[in-house]
Amino acid sequence: MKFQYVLLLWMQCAAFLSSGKAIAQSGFNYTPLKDDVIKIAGSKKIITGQYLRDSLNTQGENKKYILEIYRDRYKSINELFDNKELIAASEVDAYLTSITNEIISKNPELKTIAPHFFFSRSWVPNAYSTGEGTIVFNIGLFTKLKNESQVAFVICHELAHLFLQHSNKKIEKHISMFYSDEFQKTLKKLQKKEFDRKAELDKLEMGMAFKSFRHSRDSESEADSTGLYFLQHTNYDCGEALTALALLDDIDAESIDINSSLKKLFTTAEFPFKDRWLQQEEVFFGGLEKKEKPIGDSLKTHPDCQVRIKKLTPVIEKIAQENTRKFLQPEQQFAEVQMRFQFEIINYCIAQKKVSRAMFYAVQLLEKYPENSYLVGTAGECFNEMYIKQKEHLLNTIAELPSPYREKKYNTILEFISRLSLKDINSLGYYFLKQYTGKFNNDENFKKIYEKSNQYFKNNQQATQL
Amino acid sequence: MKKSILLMMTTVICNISLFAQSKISFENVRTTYIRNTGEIVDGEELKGYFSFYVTDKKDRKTNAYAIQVMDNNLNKIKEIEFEDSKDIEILESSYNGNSIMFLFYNDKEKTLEYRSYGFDGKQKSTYTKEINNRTKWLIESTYGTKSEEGQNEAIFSVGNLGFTTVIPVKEGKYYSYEVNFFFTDRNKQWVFEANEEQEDKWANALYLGATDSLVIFEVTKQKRMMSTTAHAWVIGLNIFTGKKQFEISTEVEDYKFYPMNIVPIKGKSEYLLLGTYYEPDGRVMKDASLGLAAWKLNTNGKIVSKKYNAWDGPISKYLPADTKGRIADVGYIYFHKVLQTEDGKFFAIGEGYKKVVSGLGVAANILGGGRSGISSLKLKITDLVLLQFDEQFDIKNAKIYEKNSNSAEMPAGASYLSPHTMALLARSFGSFDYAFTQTDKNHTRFSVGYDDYVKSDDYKGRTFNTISYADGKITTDKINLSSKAKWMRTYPAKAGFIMITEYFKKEKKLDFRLEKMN
Repeated sequence: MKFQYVLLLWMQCAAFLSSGKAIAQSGFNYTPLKDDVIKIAGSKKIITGQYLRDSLNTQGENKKYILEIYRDRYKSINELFDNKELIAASEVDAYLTSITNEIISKNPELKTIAPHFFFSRSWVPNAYSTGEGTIVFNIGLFTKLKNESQVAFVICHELAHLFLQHSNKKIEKHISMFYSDEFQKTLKKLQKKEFDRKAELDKLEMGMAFKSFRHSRDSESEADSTGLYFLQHTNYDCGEALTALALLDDIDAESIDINSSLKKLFTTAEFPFKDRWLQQEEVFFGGLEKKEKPIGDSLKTHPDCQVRIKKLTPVIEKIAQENTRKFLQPEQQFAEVQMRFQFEIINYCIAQKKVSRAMFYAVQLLEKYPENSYLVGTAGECFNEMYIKQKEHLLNTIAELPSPYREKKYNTILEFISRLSLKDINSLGYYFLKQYTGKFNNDENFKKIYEKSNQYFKNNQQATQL
Repeated sequence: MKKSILLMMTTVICNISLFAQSKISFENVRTTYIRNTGEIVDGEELKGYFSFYVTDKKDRKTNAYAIQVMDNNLNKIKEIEFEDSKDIEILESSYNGNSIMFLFYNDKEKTLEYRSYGFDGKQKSTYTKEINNRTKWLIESTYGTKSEEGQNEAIFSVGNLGFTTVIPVKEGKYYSYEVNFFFTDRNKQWVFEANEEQEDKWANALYLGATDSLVIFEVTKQKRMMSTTAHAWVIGLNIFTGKKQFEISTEVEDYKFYPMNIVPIKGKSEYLLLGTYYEPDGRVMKDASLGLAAWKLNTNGKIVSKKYNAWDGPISKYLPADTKGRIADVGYIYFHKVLQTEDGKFFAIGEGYKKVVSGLGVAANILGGGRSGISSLKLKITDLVLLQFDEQFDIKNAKIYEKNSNSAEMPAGASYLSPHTMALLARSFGSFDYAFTQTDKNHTRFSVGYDDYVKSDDYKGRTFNTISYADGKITTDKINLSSKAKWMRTYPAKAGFIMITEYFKKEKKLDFRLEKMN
């Protein structure tokens, strides 16, 4: 179950700064996390075992269809490993284990569900339980939280989904509903209908969606309260459940001025920044569709965070916790993991060829650590990659097109990229890197990226005066 | 109708079933058909696209429709739903900053309907024009396609004020035209019916552009329907009243002048007309042009100044043209577009053509005993030519962009036609390789797109090429149009991009993608 679907991807460093640690302009010396192949093989074995057990235990007339879904789910989890999305690195896993151990050791009933936990390299601020025992915590969410108790609450919420078997029950319910004789008969009847078929289908679908989403919302509330029950047995501060929810609801997406960051970073004497690259696009036809009749609140899978806070507050007030703390591990460790993850996200984006995403996060971090050689090199590498792809007219494969559906700040980066000519891409990257040549002379990674950019710059003789 | 709207084919949108094969899912029951798709333009700028779907059948005569409006990055912005006759299609659409106007054509009822929609997706206004059978061919020959300049032919946005439209009509013995203006900021509309004071048998109007107070059209008039002598006029209508502000002949000055574009002059009520010019006794349909001209006019249609660039005069410094405007290897130049960029420069985009012997035509005539239907002379379409002028419309540079020549076969009996008449025919057949010119609202940049065919060791096949102007520099680019798709087509996109559509027959899948050009 998803803890929070879409949050504006932002405030990457807020938690770290709030911890009051002074950060040098260079940040820290980042090296990518290395996955432990033995741990991955062990985890895959456990997941395969669970998949086989679930399959064997499935009964009933819709068994065939349920098994298909289980198979897809198993395949998806394996893809997370294959895409190197799941982290299996002792440096950070130990931290996650320390939190999950605290929760499970204080809630013995959770041992029966045998959960396994992973950090995911995904930038999406989300955590989810896949339903068969795997709980995934995206580092995109971890970097936004303020303390360990908030992390613990998110984990407890996902554990509750697993404990209450929300996912498997939902699968069974959907299958039995859609594949019932009555429902299939209705669909067959509609299929033969010549007129008004869509109108009736819409009505039927809306009714189903309403029931299904209402159920999902109830599940979320149930996961909140059960999660809180697990949390209260630990030494984590239950009050942080409320701050976590409030944070998810009120994340300040406007705190960094991406326009000025771009301008500041990529302005050089040799190649001045052009204002038109950041010119605000005129909103076409009033922008995104606003439904004439808003669909009722019941169609939201997650109840509003404020509603969730309201529901949990009286429960928390009654909880008499003693010796609770926001951090059970040293606070600095939390900050260090967050810092590492901010860089890890960028590295993962580059590895996955999500170059516009990598650029987005690199620009934000460069605002804070302008002297960090990894970040400077990565921004330069983004331009190099874009240059090569644009030369082949394949820029779209690594840089997304602007869309009003995306986060506003990220969309600004996409607008910026879409306005750059091939020569602009190359020149911006080259002159940006050139500024650091004296400083990062001994950094092999930087040198390699700069040399590549320099070569492209020399080759780029495209523009000719008429 | 001319079927060059993006996709006239009816395509079933196949959704991937989320369910097992033996059971029925919502997706199996729901069928949606694309009726057609097209671009949404604001003046010369592409703002988005529309897809027109049949979503449901309401009864034997009525369908439920949805128009999906997408922005210029292909993101769905809005969906407009309505019910209407099953015989309608959308011919064109235009955006003016606060409304979108669609031109619907009802093939059975023979009606044109202009409908505008506001940001809320609700219909703001409608105007229906009935077409008689005699006028139908005029409509068919005009609407439903983009013009040579890549712009609309029927609906034109005029700032935030509204839209103007021009419809060919047949009234009694007269072939005439009707201009409409639909205000989108108020509930008002006017009609200008040219036939009320028409003396010539035939008159046809082409929209040139608008100033703050005028909508301006180039009008071609002929005394008789089959006459070979057409005369050019420029007519200015007051935007707010629809009254004729002026009507001037462009043939009575020192040269005959045929404007192609209008360029409003910033901060002034004056504007420029740009186009080709001919000898005072020349015939535009038959003769070679003498060069390019710019006339500056005021709001009363009075010519304030004139500037001529002759082939054998200033242009010859940059292009080796003879007195007839013929360039070695390139031939004559057919101009597709003249525009002014934000930095004040003017650019003229042309394509070479020559009248040559047709091997196919000769062979077909020998074999067919002269009844092959193909002329033994054809038009050879050669290279692209770009001319650059300064703010005073003095030529400053010119360049020939070589491409593989292309042939436009002519119908039997066309041998006697001049190469210039053949060029007009070739344009109407869509035989030129020039595709479109894209620019943004302020003309900060432009891209000229054209097709070519390449035979090389590396690649053999169709290519799409661009000549782009940005930041004072010209760049060229080429994209190979090879694909596993059954067919692949290129369409205008936002400035600096092209849109490529590919149809995969096996998957019944239609892919739209934007490619950035260099």
